[in-house]
Amino acid sequence: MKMTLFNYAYFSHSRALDNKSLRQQVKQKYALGVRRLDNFTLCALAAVAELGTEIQAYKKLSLISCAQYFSIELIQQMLLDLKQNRAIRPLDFVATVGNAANFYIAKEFSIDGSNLFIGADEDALTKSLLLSSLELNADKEAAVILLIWQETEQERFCHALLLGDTQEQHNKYAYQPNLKYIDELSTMDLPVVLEVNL
Amino acid sequence: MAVYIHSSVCHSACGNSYLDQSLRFTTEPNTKLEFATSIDEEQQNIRFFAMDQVPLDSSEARLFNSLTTVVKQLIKSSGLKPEELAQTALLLGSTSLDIGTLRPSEDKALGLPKIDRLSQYLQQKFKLHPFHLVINTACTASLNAVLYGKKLLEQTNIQQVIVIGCEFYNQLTTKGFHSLDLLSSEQLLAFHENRQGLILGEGIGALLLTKTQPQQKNYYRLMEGDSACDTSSLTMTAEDGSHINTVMSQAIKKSGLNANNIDLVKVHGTATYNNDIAEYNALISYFNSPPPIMALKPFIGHTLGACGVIELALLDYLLAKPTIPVADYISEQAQSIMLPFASADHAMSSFAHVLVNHCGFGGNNAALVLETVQS
Repeated sequence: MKMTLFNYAYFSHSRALDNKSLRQQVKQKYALGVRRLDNFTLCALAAVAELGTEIQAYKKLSLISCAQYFSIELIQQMLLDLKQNRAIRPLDFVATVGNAANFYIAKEFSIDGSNLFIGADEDALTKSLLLSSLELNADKEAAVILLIWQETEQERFCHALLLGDTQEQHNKYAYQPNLKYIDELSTMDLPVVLEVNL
Repeated sequence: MAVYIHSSVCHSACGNSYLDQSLRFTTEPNTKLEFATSIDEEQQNIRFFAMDQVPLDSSEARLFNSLTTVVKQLIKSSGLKPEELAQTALLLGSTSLDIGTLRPSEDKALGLPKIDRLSQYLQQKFKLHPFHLVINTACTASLNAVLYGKKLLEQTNIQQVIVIGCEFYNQLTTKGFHSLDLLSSEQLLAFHENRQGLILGEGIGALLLTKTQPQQKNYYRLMEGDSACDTSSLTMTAEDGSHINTVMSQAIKKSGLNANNIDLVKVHGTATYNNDIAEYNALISYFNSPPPIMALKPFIGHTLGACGVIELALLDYLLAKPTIPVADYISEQAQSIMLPFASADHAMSSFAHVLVNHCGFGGNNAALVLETVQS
């Protein structure tokens, strides 16, 4: 299943960076609304911002995001509050749903198409590209913003891909079947036609 | 290409559809949870719809045993052979997943299991196709899993898809909803003018989606669906029903149908003020004369991300029955009911096209049209 990757960007931050500092950083660099947002969401917002104004060219945008873990800091804090019998704060609780980050991204960037948050570890890139392709086949004029978070104990990355349906005129672009590692994208000349199969 | 619900199993407060001759549709929650929501507060009694005949706790053993059992039952009832299981993808929709089994860790930066832990477990346990993942879009999670399962079947060489919806009792979810002041202390009165909120439930639903027609007398073909994000609020959809209207109308239009073709609407019907008024507004704005509605949460509670698949499995179960469950309050307090409910003496199979509606936190709304096939 083919799709064209028009643009790729990423944002990363140290896991040691506190929420207030990251909020300031993202707000200053990208002029985004950041109030009450956790680091997981901020990282993704920044990654989409890095894609630039190209995303505004599409009449319809869908959002698919994929993570190995939920917002770890948020969930850990809630579990600690629970263990210590502290009251659960309502908005913190709502923020723990997987698609909370997607909500803020959709709102900030006016994404009104499909909106999906998935959890995948092995083959996360293949699975999320495949879902993107399913989405693009349903609406050839739309684009998909695909977000993939990656985390280590030291750092959190969010990769943002702007994907569209492959048209005949895209034959002139480089062709990349079975992309295995998302890091390869940073060295590719874009646009590129990706192909993914099960 | 047609996609069907080939088989289904659900285990909820009503019972287990694989084991029980007749599920029990009662609106009385079967469990009372007693705990203090914080160290400063008094004990609360919170009503809950627990899975029938499964002693309540939030242990890993309970979670994995009950999940394994339901999937095993689905595989048995579907007759899938090992070589067919290897061609079967798995999509799992849930809100809380295994959160009840987690313990906080202050030592490690990555102290949590991965989101796809449950789908990976099932894929390995039953030797399914490597394509498995978890969809986590709050209360639309498992319905979205059905929508994407359908797309997988239509566009790839995957032969079958197992779609699971699961939600397990846990303190974080219960206390979280209590903090939002969304829980009813009495009944879950969906589409009642004096509704007081939702009652949580747990359960597991499992569907087998196939491209081959099932053998039973009546079954469902999945027509088209739609799903999108309402960015008006993180916690509730637009009260005027405009976003639900958009999603519903897209699902119906993509199915090649119009409002007159819909014979029944299975509402999300959580009995919160906002949800029901938003759905009500959506229905009266889209339909000149809304078709009868049906609500299942009065019998199983709100099973959050699992509700899409559990409620579809219940609809599938009801296809073989001569009547449908209707809560007593519908007839006892008819003057307070917002829209006409389908009457109990209508067989589920008599509704040719059913619109299934779901809404969720994080703004996600989803809808799906079912076609009843009578062979």
